[in-house]
Amino acid sequence: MFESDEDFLELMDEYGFEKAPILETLGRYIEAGHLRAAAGETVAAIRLFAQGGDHDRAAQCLCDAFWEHLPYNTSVTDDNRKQIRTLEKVLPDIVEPSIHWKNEVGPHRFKCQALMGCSSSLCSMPLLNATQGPWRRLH
Amino acid sequence: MFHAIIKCDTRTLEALALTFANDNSGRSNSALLRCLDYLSRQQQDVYDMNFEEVNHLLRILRLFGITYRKITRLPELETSNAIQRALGFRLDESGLEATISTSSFLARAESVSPLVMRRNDRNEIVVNSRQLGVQIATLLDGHLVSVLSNHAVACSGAKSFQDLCSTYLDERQLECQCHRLHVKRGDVPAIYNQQLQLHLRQILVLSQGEPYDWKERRNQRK
Repeated sequence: MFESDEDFLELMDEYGFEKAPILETLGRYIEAGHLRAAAGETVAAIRLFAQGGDHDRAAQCLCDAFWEHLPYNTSVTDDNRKQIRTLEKVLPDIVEPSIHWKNEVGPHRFKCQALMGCSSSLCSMPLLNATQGPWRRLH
Repeated sequence: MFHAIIKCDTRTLEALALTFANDNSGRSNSALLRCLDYLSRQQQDVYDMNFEEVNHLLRILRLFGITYRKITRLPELETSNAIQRALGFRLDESGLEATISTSSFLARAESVSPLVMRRNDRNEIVVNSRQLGVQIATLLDGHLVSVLSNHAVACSGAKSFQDLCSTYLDERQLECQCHRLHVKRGDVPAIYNQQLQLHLRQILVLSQGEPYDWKERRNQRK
């Protein structure tokens, strides 16, 4: 009926039908993801980007969504808890994003020792062993 | 970072703040601000902290002070992408108007409500961007002063900044239940040295970001 997928998509667009589900059926996940993202369907967009193999874009999209729900001076409340949980569920879908996005969205495991030694500030001068325990131990 | 914020994982956020601070590309500025914002709002029981713990707290506070002072002294801070991302607003193409996201604390800030020009079709507040910049600088500066003042007050009564217990030092009592520091006689010189270092670091933290040169300092304050 149609010479190519493009003709079909063009016609669907002309008649005002959603193109994203068709693109998904055709396996064109990243294009579908862009359309979902533009429509504000963030979670669907993240999943599509991840499915299409563009994990950096998926991470970026997820990061933007987290910023939207948890900006400066905002905590998890009843108003945003549901959206945040949904975003957390998408997290495992993203594989190996760049370190920048990983730091912003991903779970972390820092060792206490590394934390103590990673600053070059003047406040990081070495301490004597005598004071490393709680005060009561010095009693 | 967001994972740690959701899980209230303060230790990880401290480590991340130090990591973000070492990123000179500027890409981590918004994340650094978000981490420091979270950390600065956590209740710290300084009273019972030992030297190591106080030093660690001072390290984070120093970073907090430097970052906030740097931000609040930007000539047009509202144009910074990091500030826009962290605080949840964006400028229009002309740069004259700022649209504040409904989830941003700015949308609920009393000082911002007089600036509202209109609401857009997504119910977001639209304000004059320059006036918003001035308000943000005022809000951040107020938070900086508040955090450092509270810290100074808390430390003034904390054990690590107090005198040692003389009754215990003089060996008049083997056990003492008072709240001051109890150290063995032989450890006193080392403890005094550490207390002195702690006081010096405290001064550094409370005056952080201030340039040494008074002319430069005066120019920054204009």
